[in-house]
Amino acid sequence: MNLIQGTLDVLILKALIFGPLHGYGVVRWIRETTDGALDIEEGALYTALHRLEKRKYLASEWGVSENKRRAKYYALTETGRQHLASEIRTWDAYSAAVSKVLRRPEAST
Amino acid sequence: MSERFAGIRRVFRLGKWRRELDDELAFHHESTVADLVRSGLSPAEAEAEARRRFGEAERYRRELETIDRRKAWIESLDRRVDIAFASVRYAFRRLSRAPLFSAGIIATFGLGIGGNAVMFTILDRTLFSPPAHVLEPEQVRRLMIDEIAFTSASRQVADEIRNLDFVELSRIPAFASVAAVAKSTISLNEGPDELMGQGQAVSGNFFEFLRVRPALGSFFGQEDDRVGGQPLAVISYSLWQSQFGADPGVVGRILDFGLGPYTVVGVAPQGFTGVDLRRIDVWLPMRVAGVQLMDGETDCFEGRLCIAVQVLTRLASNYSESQADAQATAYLRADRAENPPIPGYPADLESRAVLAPLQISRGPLAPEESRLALWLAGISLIVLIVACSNIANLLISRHVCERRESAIRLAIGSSRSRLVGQVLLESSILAAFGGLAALLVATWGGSIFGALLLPDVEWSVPGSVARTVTLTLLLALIAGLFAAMLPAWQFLRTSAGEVLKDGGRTMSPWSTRVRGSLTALQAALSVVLLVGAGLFARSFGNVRSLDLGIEPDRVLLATPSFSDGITQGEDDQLLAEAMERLQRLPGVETASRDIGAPFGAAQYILRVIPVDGDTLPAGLEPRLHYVDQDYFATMGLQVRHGRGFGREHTATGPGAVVVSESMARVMWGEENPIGRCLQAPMIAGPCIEVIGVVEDSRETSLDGTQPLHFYRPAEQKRVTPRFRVILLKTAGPPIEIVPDVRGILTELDPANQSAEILPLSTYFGPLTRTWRLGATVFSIFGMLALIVAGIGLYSALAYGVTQRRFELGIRAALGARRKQLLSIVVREVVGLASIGVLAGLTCAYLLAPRIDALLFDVAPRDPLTLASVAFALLLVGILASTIPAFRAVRVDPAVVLRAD
Repeated sequence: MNLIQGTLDVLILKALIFGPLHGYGVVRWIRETTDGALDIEEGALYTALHRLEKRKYLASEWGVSENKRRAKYYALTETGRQHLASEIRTWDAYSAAVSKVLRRPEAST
Repeated sequence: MSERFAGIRRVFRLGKWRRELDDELAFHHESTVADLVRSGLSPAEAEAEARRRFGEAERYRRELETIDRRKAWIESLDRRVDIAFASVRYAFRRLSRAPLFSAGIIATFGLGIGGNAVMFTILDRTLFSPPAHVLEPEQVRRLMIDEIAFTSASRQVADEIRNLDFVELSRIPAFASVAAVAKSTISLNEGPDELMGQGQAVSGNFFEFLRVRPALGSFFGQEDDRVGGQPLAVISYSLWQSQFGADPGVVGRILDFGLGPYTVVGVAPQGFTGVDLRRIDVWLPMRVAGVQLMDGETDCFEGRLCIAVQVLTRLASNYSESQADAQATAYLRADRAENPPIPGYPADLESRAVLAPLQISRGPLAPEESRLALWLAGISLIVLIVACSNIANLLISRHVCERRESAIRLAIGSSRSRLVGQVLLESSILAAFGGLAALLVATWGGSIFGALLLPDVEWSVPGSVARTVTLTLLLALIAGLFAAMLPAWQFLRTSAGEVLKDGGRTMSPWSTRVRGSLTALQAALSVVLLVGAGLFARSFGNVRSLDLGIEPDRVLLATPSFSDGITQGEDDQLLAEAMERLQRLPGVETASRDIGAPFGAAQYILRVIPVDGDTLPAGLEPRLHYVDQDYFATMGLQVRHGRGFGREHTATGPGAVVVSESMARVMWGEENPIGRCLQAPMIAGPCIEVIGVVEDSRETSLDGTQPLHFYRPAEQKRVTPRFRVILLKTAGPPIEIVPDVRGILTELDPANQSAEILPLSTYFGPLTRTWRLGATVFSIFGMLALIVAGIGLYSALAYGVTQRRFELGIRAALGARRKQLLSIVVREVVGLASIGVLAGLTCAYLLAPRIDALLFDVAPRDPLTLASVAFALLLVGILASTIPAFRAVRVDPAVVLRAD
């Protein structure tokens, strides 16, 4: 299943809502949460991470990983949190509207 | 040391994001592989799977680098902005910690920059900018004639041209179009609408020529400007605003300015003043208004124009300037040969055309005031330099006071450039505030000062503000940096070790020297300005005490002209009655009629009178007066030989003429003029006997032109009412009897109340304006500079004493007497002031001859002026030193030596 354009950003922001994660952690969370249903190239995920950081939705910090290795941790900023909230609202409205159309019985005419 | 590492650090920081990216991706890859191996893949398979999952590694790597590079750049910019904000905040905190110090500097900057902004506003209006609303003004030229003037027999450039055929003139190929403006304006002070103002007669194509658009209605055109044409008028924007309340219904209204009814066709745009800068209220078609002004002499306007006009032309683009010059000169020469400017004037005038720029101040006929304005701009620049050096002085003192603070900052690793930047920043902030204050000064002061300097110029021109603002802010920036230069340099020389060692107790010899030089510089510049002020003040005094022959201070001038409808007989009757009643008025000693009046107070048409019989040398233009027997007594002119007019010189009495001394000398040399015979075309009969000689009277210009006058009895010639004036010699100040005089005139002719009644001295003022202005402005700026320099001297000394308390304390402890301590301080002042005065006097001595042309009867190196300025400055120096000096002698050695 291919990803709809622009949704990757929302997924990353959502992944970070529970606390800071390093890049690999974000990848793993998305994979586990979607049961691998989404086919995301990890390179694309990293460019999205860096872009979000440049836009100041994320802040980064170097820390130590579970296996005692130096890793770059990303955390949601306040603007990132607000952005995510508004994206979720948009997504809900969008998907509700699309579902309504798609679920409409066909032979009624 | 720290500077050397800064570069390396910068490189370090730039590379940092790249290494971090490497680390991040490596961590990701290793974690993925480790997880895959843990889930059962072989290391090789895990490696391949990790690569597959990541996707096109190189492409992502490039994308990531692009993003990170931008991010790093933005972050470093943010950091810089943060530092800048912090510096500004710090600077503001420091400046507000010493509010008096800051306010003083801002005020000094404000005055210095403001003075320059004001002068710029004035120069911009008079020199740089063309008259408002003229399109493509750079194509427009004023045609002037450089020829042997028939009034003085020497070469002169004149912009008034008589007896030219305009149709012929516009056929010159290099002239794309030609327009004309009457030289003299028309005083609009009469008529039932009681509009006061200035009118200008212009050729019909005037507005089209200048490419101006009306604010309302339309303009008259070429076809309206003909003898017998419709009387149409264009009024100025300000007249429309002030007299008609901006009522659009003004178009089509019929107004009477005293020339008969004129229909208003349009309103000129705001600030439009034609081709000159002075205010004009009404424009009239030249041939229509001219015929009325010349009492119906239509032949004056049918072909050649007999009145004096200024000629304007737009150059055709396909000819060069020199070609245009040559063509115009050739035309003028040929035309002058056939049609001399004055009928019967034979000589070759060697005419040459001069195509001058539209801005009169840039041409050969620039008025004195505009030259003065350039000087004033120079002075205001000097004041700014004085202000800047004073500020530099204050900044140096302040930073010397804080030497320990800066030394500590240096010692704990603050970079030197940071400290220097801080000084520049503080100075710039102060200058910026000063610039804002200057803008206030300029917007209010510009037009007020302009109106004072050049009262005839219309100042209410929109626009031009942008240029003043730009210049002011630019000046503020330059002044700020200029003032900070020396204090900044001081930091580059500060050595933390030395300062901390001596505890900031002694002043470095360098800063003492710099501050001394700055103070001396201020003193020197003040001397230059004060010498200028002194020279102009003396000129003004000389002009005031100049023997004019006539004595304007006790003379009241009235220009009565009775209602239009009355007959000539009635007019004569009214005038005779007015004269009789005015003579009997208490407070009036004597009264007389004349045509025209001195100093341009009343207009008359100067007709050139070639005199035969006992001939007048060619090229002289005597002024003819028609006067009553009391004229000479009224004007305060002494009869030198023979006698004045008497009762016998009635309309039918014997003809008689009185001449001025200069005229007698020119015509008959040292011979006795009494009984000689004067012949002129306007004098009926063969010739008239000269019965007397009166002293010369200067009534047009104050300089060398020969005052040639001849007088005839008023009874023997009926004068056109327009040019008639009544002169009254009063017992007290003339202004006091104005209401009585007006009462009499109104009683005689109730319909007309607009006669102009003013003391003659009112009209004398403008002639002395250059000197009065020079004296005023030089004095104001000179005093300003002196005050600033005085404060500078005071602060330098006061500060010097504070700094030397330690030294003075030791001296006192070692037994120095008060007198000795005093002499140490005073010696310093006298030294500084003398150096300044000497340098200033030298500059003034070298510069003064350049303003010679603007002075009146004062040697530019007038020793009295130089000496008194030197004295004044030394006095200020001594006054400025008293307080610091007394503080110095009261130094208590015990307190001072314990202080540290």
